[in-house]
Amino acid sequence: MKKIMAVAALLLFMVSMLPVSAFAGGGGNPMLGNWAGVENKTDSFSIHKDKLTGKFTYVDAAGEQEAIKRDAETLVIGSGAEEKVLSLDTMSGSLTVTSSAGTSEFRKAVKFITLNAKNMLFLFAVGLIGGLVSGFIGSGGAFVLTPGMMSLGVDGLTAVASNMCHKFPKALVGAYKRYKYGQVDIKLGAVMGASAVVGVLVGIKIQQYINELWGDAGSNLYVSVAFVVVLVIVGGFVFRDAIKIARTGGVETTSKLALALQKINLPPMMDLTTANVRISMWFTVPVGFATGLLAATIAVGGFIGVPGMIFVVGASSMVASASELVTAFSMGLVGSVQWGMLGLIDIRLVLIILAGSLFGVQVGALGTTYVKDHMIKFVMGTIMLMVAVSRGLAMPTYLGELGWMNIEAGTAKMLDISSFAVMCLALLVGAGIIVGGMVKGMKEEKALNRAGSALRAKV
Amino acid sequence: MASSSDDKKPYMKAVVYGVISIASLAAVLTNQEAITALFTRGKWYTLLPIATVFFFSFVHGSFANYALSAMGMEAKKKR
Repeated sequence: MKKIMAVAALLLFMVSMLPVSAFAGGGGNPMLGNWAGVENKTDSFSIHKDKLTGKFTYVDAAGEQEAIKRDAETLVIGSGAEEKVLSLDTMSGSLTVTSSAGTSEFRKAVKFITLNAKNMLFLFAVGLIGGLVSGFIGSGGAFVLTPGMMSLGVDGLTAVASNMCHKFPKALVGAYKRYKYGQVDIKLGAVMGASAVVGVLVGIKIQQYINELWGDAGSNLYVSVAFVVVLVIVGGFVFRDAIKIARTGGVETTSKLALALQKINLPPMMDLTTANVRISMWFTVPVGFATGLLAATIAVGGFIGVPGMIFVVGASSMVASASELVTAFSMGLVGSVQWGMLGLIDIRLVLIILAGSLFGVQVGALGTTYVKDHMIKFVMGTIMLMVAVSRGLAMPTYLGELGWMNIEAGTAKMLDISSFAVMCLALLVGAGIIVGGMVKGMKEEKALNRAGSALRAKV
Repeated sequence: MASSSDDKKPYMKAVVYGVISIASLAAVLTNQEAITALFTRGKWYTLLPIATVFFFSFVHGSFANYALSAMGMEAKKKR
């Protein structure tokens, strides 16, 4: 009953966040791009943004350009009798243009890519491997998908929207499987999920502020710095801990910080039955908030969420990675509804990715039953450190775009390719370790079963 | 003696859900333009891609679950 109430409370909270939230999941100003009139489809224009100055430009159907003045959520073109005010309704996704001639409604005119066998196979494969990693460590498969889709020519915002729309059902299936294995602490996942949604909203506001100050190049640099700092510090810590446990007999123990926090009696206290932890809600909420904040910044909240649940709350790696899927589901659903309202979800891409990831996530989930807890930390730490290297390689390009560093076009291109390659390698290496660990565990299990059958036959 | 676990492998369920899953995906891909136009109209039309994704997750998730079981890939049994 308590579990049902926890899930119901989370769902209610998420629904209440919908009118408040905007474009959860990070990435991109939704006003940018091509717009077409609802009543008159030939009435079209596009809005562009200068990467360095952050200034908006309005380009009409004839190609005439006009500078745009920004005022909070509205953009203004021209002045006096010629003035046009553009305002975006974030709930419906429509852009209204008001002028002396009246009001017209516009919707996003997004061109979705043409699908061919190669594209579909690529998306299926990335979905499969990403799902495998997510099912095992609770998160991480999605970070490759947005740049992966963009490398196929998918528009940036469509890539983010479609990625988000595949994330929440994958997380749901993964969470369900791991719940059946007795690994999900629903209460923990629900509290984290609710505070993560708030973290996402704040994270987006920070993103928007940085975008206004330093433009797209500045945003990209901020995202990369966040990647590198968080992944190196947290990833390094997680990796080192995994090695330490492996060396000392493979038994995971609760961190000193978590033990200390659990002793503090600060109501309301939460009894987390699956995690076998009693801790104040005031210590779990910040972990969820940080998860949402990171998700809005780098699209993967679990890189803070899972270590946070392990080292701050005191859950085991198994329970933390499983419960993270509940958090990912809640953030993903809220974000997907928002992107859907803007008409940016390409359902074809979502379904093809899901075709792969729904297999992958279940394999990853069952894989956790064949390995020791610290393997989860080992895979997570490895992926995080490699992705940090990948983002580090991308940073000189953004520094060059901001004019803070001199870099040749050829070098920048090479660094971009290396960055993408290392990111793909991170996912492949993580998947390889998971599969290796699973195969070993399954072989041992088969041998034990055979020995057991032989013993029973003798008796 | 044949292993009793073979009798329990959900081959039929895997095939049924597999057929529904492939048919659903084919239905979307063969009507790409119409579906894309409808699903990207925003506002309440958002429920269409969200509902589609929930439906596909149930069907394809079940297919994957039974297919993996049929292939002998299952969680380790607790001793």
